[in-house]
Amino acid sequence: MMMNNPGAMGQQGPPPNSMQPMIQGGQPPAAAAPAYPNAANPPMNPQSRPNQSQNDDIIARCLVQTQRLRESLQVLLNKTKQAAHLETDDQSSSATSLSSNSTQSSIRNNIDRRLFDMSQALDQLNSLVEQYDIKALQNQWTLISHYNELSYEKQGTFMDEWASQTKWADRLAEISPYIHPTIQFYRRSNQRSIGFTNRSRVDGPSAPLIDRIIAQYDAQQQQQQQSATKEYSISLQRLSDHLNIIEFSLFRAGLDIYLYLRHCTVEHVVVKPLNEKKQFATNFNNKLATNYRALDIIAGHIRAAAVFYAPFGTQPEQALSKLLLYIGKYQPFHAQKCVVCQKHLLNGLQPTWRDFKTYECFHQECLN
Amino acid sequence: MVVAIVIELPTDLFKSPAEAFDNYLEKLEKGGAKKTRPFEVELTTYNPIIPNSKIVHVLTHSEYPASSFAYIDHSNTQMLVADNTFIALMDKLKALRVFDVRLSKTRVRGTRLEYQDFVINLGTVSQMEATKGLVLEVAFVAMDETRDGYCLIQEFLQSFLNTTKQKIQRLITEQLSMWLRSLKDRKDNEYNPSVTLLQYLDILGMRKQSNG
Repeated sequence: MMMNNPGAMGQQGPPPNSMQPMIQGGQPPAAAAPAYPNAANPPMNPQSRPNQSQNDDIIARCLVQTQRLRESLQVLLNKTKQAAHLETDDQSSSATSLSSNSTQSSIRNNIDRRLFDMSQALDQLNSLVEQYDIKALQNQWTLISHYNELSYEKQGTFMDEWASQTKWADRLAEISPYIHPTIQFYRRSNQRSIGFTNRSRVDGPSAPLIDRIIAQYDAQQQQQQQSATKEYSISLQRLSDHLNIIEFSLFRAGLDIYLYLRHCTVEHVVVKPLNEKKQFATNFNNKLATNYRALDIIAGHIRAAAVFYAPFGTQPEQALSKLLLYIGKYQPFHAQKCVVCQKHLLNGLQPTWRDFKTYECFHQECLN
Repeated sequence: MVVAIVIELPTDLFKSPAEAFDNYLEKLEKGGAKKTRPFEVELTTYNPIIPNSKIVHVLTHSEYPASSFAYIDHSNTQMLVADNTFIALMDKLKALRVFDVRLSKTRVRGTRLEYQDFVINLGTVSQMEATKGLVLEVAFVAMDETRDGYCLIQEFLQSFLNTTKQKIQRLITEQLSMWLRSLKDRKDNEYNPSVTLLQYLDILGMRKQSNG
């Protein structure tokens, strides 16, 4: 029977078990990923994901109750306006008629009925909210990361998106087939690259690659540095599979450099003084630009270096490792003098420019 | 998040401290500094009525509006940093006749300017409506590592005052010199605002000794 055989018409839906996210069961899916997903009807198995489907059902019912409340409120508003008009008409005319009395009583009955409806809807909403499984949201970490990425593309409007989109549950259902770690259909080259040994693009999760680059840089610095105490620290914060933030702290210079990476490409740079983080320990937003002129200029130079070290054809990991070397040259930032004018300050600014090849320091004005 | 130097500016070449203040302010503005807001530093000295007690100096600075800084004379202790209720406490002790304020408050009032990552406070010292001199505070706000910040501010002062490094070093107060010397024995070079207020105390306190 064609209806029961999804493979017969060429519309391959993925086998039921392969759509389970790894986080829930802790076991990798047994079947291979299909070539083309069926986006219209994501084949979620309610038995394997009871919490999520129940949550979705609860959300849908909450939306119904909210709509009911909204409608009752609107009717209530109209009826009270009508009642107010009637009252003013009665006051202006000396005689009260039977018809106006009956209208008023019907309005009153209507209002009572609507209030009763609203109280029922509120009770049901309350019980639905209590039934909602908040812990199931923790299993949707990949979805949340994807949303985080989307919001980053919209310049950090993540919370606004959640607040303004009431149909987020439908959206989650739409995109869930696409964000399974083993599928990654937004990088279709992943399918064709099996068997390729030379790849110029980075596909798949990039955090392990960046970790390797950081480890290489650490090993290099340990060989060069003679002192036992480390003068810097590098940490990686993973927002999603291909969106990462490197925090590079230079202790001697008192600088914190944040590199926002999409795979191994630097998209955004923020440079801050080290101690600024202490002020925002619980509510840290490292997307804010710095308040200091010199550090802002350094951020611009680092962006320029990221472009310089990544010409067409370069492996992204080579570009990133060269960039980390370049950033490390800012360690003695406050103590260095300009090579041209031999001064610390020119127009109130330190020598912020570092040559991309020789790493010599210059004031911006001294370059020309 | 600041390293600051406080120095007393020379007013010998000018007819009055007010003229010197205008001259230095014009020089700063022509150099590119922008006025932001007024600033004020206040020093109140509490003399003990009870014998064998020590004099307490209490300072406030408009850059740190929520804090008050207290220092006990002739002691090796650091400056006490407290909130503004400390001033209320001292006033209460004054009312209870534990302390007495014999000298009037010394104030430094002037203008706060910003130049790139520097904050410059230029003010006149006054006591009982009589102007006594000029004070300049230069702070580099992008760091709190003392030695490097001190070098940068020294270079700034050299270009502003058009003078040599040695003359700048002579203008630096004893408190800052002691602080810089003490850094050799310490691993932590982090500057803190109480060092700024100690420098003010040095300048204003010495002035009080010469008057009183």
